[in-house]
Amino acid sequence: MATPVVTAEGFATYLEQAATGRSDVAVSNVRRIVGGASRVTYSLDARWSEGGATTEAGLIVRLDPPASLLDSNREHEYAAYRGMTDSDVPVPAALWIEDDASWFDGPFFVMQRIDGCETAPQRLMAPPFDAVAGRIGVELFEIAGRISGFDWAKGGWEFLESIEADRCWERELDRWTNVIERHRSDAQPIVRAAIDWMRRHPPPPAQRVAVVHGDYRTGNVLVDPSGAIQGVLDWEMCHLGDPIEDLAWTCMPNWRWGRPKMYGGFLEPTEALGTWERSSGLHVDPEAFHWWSLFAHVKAQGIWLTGARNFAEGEADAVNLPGISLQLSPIEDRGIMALLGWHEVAP
Amino acid sequence: MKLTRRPTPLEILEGVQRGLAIQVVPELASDQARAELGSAVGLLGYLARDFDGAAQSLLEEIAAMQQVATQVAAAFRAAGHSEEAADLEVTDPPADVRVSTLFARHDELQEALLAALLAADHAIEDRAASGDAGGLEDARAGIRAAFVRLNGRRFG
Repeated sequence: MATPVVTAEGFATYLEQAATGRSDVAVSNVRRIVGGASRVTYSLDARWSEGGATTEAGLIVRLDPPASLLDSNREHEYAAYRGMTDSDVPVPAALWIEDDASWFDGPFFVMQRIDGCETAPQRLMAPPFDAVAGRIGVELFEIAGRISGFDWAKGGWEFLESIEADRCWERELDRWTNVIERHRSDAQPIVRAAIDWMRRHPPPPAQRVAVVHGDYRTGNVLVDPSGAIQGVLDWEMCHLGDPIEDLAWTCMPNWRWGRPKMYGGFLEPTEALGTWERSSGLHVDPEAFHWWSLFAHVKAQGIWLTGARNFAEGEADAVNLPGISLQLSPIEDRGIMALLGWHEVAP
Repeated sequence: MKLTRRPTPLEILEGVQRGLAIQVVPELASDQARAELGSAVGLLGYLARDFDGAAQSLLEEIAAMQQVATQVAAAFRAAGHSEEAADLEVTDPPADVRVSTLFARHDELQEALLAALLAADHAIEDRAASGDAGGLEDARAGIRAAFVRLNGRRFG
């Protein structure tokens, strides 16, 4: 299966033919966005006439890749964007979803592009954003709290599988254990020892069953120059579960971007957790936070092993996949051993 | 044998990496193509750095794990776990020094040590509940330390 490619002509044809009543379509500035690890992502400008009005829009096209770091679900991600629209969690507007793979060698969905923002962590740690680092950090954890406190039961989230508060941990651990067992190419003793320990020492039940974004972190938020977050991206792993899962993922060392003592790369731990608690109305239970921090490394290991295996078997053609795995797998193991207290026995 | 003394495999990999970085990357038009080739250049550098020492490194790690496995087997036997002890007593040397053969042996030893670690973990927790530590703490600490050292070598 080839990596999907979007062209200006191809997207103009799609816009004109996929819905009746559109005319005078023009598409320009098509470019692939570098770094999307789970989907092939394009940015473009489009203009069209419909019902007597002319629309000009910056659009993002998210296409299914042949294989990548994740085996994720496009409809699921699209529905999550729709579900968060008009909430206090900022997301780009999800516009259209297309199952017909013949347009660009793969199914896709289209959403609004939010201009004037930055997502790349390295750039967020540098001028001019470093001057507003405190605000970015507060926004990051306030919005994390809003996701955790979001009232999903009022409707629109029926696509997510329900779960009881005392089974959140088990379902997620089963899910990622299966991913690791399916994709590992060698013994992986450290992550498997961690999984065994986690099954024997489960966390307390979730305080509430919440929408869990699944990859909420610095790098998946659109930040404007004032430090305000204008959009939360990459919802393909969202599910119902324990909100501490999301919090522990956001705080894990992988996403501190060279500032090892700052959660998310922006806030001291006490301030980060306090901000989340005030925003969510929930409490950070230390035992739960420890368990879900361990889980974050298990899940990350599952992601890296998936990318490496897909590359090794020729199912994924992104050249960065083996490098990501080589670099990050030992880091996950090190994080696991630190959380399990193994470093105390190191020579 | 098709390899030559000069350029060595290491020099070939480094040369290709250098050539791509200097001659090809600047000529590429799209950000995506530059990023992909940049990753490829980085991978070639990794292969170049590890090519010459890969077999030696695997042999050292196998020897270290073998030593830990022997000590752990004795501890298990003394604690009355003869079945687990037997699983750790794999002493045949690898059939050859191909990297694939060495990886297979490396993996076998990691599997055996993991099984022993889990058995020790479970036994220690079960016996702690009854107030009897069972004598496997040192074995468990030895396996953990071996895994910590192996992990440390990934950063060397």
